[in-house]
Amino acid sequence: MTLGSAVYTQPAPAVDFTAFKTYYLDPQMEVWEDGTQKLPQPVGSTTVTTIQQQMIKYGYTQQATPPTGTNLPNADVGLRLVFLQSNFTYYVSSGYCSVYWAYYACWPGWAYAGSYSTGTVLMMMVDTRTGQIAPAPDNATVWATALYAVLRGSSLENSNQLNSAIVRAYDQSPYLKNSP
Amino acid sequence: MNRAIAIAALASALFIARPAAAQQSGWTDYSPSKTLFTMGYQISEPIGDLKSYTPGTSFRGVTFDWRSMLSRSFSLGLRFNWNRWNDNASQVQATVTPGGTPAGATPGTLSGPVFRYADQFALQAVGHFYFGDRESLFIPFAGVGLGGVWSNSYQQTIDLGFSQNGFYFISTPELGLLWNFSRGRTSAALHLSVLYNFTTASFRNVSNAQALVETMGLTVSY
Repeated sequence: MTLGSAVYTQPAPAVDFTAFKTYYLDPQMEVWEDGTQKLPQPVGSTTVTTIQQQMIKYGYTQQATPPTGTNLPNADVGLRLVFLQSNFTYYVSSGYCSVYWAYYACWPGWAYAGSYSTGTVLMMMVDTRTGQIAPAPDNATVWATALYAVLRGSSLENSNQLNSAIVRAYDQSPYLKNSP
Repeated sequence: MNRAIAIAALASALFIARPAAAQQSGWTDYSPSKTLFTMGYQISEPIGDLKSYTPGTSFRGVTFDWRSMLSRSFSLGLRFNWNRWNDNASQVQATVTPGGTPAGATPGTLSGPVFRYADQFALQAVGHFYFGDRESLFIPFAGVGLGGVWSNSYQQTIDLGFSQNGFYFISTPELGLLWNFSRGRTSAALHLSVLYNFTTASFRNVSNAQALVETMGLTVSY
């Protein structure tokens, strides 16, 4: 039995969100099944709209132009969704790393690394300003979000639950506002 | 002929005498109840830590007891009872401090639904003292129970569940009233009582789980 969904959010230590003005949302959602990366799936249009509304609410401007090659997007931060399409309940969620355009980013060590459940979506915000990225992958992530049990089964059909969890993630992260 | 009349007269005398004999043994012998059985429904209000864990009144509880009168006013017996307290919070928000993170790390925020319950199955030796006349319509009583309680608690958020259980001590003072609505060789009474459950049951943030319990039941005695 699954009882609703849970939302976890955490900012990087000492990060200054007022330095970020623009964002780029990756239109592709990474998909991992029991630790193995699968083909990405497009982020649903309602989910894109939801994220847009929330980012605008906090004062960000969207940069929609996709980066070319292995270049960084032309934005201060990049957002990507990661669907952990697990068939079992995992009890350690650390260890996720992936290529974020020009570099690796990981589920950061400063964030909660407890259990996660099936159908979890991670939402990572990384610093994509040129020359701003510290060598350690942890330092690239500025906002880590885990949306537990928002997607069921093998597809993205349950976008309502995903979208409401995204709204909750933003609501419980008022520090994202980029103006004083 | 005379013999036939004599037999008829004897038979008539026996028929007439028989109800009188039955009345003599059935209505004049005093035979107070020696054994009482009670079964009842319980409502309970958690107290202290248990109230923080599951704030609401519980409407799930049953009790069964057997008592044997040792004297006119005192009984000893055994009681079993079960109570469940549960809570379903649609949205709980908590600050999570990640373990082992560098100093100065900003705490995370976790929000989600939480379902939790606590069960208590108690078996106690019970002693009761009855005030006033045992044959009266209302019999107030006071009692105490001492024994063990098996505590089982469970918490779930999304598909992650956690449970704890253990066997603990329980003590239960009680005040109550028997309303003898049917009296005879076998009597029936409405049983009303208030109990204070003190246990050493501890789980999560709960220590010494306690509750105020009200019993409404039926007591049959013979």
